[in-house]
Amino acid sequence: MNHFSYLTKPIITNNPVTVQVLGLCSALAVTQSLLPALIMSLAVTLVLGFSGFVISLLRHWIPTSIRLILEMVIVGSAVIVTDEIIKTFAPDMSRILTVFVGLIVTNCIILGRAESFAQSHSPGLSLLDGIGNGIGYSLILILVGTVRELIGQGRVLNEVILPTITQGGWYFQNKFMALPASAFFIIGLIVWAIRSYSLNSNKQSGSNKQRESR
Amino acid sequence: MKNSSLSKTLMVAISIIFICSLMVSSAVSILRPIQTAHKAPQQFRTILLAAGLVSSADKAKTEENMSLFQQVEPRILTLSDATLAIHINEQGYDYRQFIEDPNASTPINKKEDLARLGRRPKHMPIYWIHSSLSKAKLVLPIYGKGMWSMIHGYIALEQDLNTIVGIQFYDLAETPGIGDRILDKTWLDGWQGKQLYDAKGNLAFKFGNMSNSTDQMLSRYQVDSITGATITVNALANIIEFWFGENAYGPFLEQQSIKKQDAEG
Repeated sequence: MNHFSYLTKPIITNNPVTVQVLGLCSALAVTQSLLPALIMSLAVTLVLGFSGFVISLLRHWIPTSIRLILEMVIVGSAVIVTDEIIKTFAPDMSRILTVFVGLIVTNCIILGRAESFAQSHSPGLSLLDGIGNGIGYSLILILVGTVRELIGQGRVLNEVILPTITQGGWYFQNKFMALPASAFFIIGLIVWAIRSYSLNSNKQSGSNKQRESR
Repeated sequence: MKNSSLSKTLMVAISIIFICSLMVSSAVSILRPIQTAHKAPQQFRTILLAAGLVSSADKAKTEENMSLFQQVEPRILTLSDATLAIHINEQGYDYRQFIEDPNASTPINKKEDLARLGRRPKHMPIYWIHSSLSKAKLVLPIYGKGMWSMIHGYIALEQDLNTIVGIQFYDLAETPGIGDRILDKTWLDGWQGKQLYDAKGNLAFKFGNMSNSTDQMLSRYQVDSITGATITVNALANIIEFWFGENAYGPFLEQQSIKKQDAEG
């Protein structure tokens, strides 16, 4: 298999959120508007790439009995460092994201990839896989964040697209989009779209390889 | 040596933990000075926001805030005897540095510690406002334990030192989407014009659902509660009760209003 596909596969066909259905908690919490979603995406991608690389590098030394604990230590340290960097260079952002950067530790994508991939692949491939999964997660967050900010507030990245009634425009905001639960509906629609797309392409190629490789 | 042997397990665990802790502590110690530099402008801005001298829509421009801050006269208040003093560094005086300092704070006994501070600082900075842009006359810092961490804020009072002009919170970690709704502008606007003390000088302020009631007597001292954020709102109620009670600003505010009455009489 081409090495590059480790990077591209998790973006759509094996997307961590829509196909593996991991990391939903933060996808609901930080997508009220696009900017925090972007920062969160960047942080998760960095932590995923780093932890995949390091855990894979140490995979022959880490004793199986304390495997999970050591993985958590590595992921946890990476998260603290990321959180401190965000606090330093984007203090306003860290006020919006609050505890959710720290909660990357419990993001199932990270431990999921460490266990299912980094444990059994070389550091280079694990780095690619981590970044690929990070991009896949980011893609969903950005989509959900854009839709929620546009429909919920009539803005994208704080730029007014649809002038709202409260500001003298015509657009009546959908208040539901401001609530975390709305992300479920958007993610549901995305899952539907991706599934019907991949089912179609499976039928055309006449194979079920994709399903098996999951 | 097998991977699962006790000595190897210990060795790997200790060395990984050591490297990770080195990484975390060096990142924190390198970045902390830059973070502290962000804190002072943010504090100025919160004071200006509470006093209504800037609006939350204005982008945070540090220089502009600093020039507006010329209209603010900071003083250091000694809580035990309600005296005001001038301090060498009162512009940049950050009470948050002294919260845990045993030399600058005294323990509070459990019964009186409504805001769960643990220790009461001996001194607090207060800010007189000299500006025609706003009705605010005095800005007071308040803080106390919320759901997850300390909630810090500033409350601005009118000339009568009783009517609220505005309130702002900062430096908090309440639950996103629930407790952090205390940062919502519309909710904060609901504090405007509410009063802390009744005509007899007793603390009458509370949270409730009568704030829009036509009954003047009831609504004057009430601010809307937030559904679902009971712990945060209760914490705020306790913070107000502590800071405007006899153990904090109460004696000072009373003394100021007696002074004013004397001047008028």
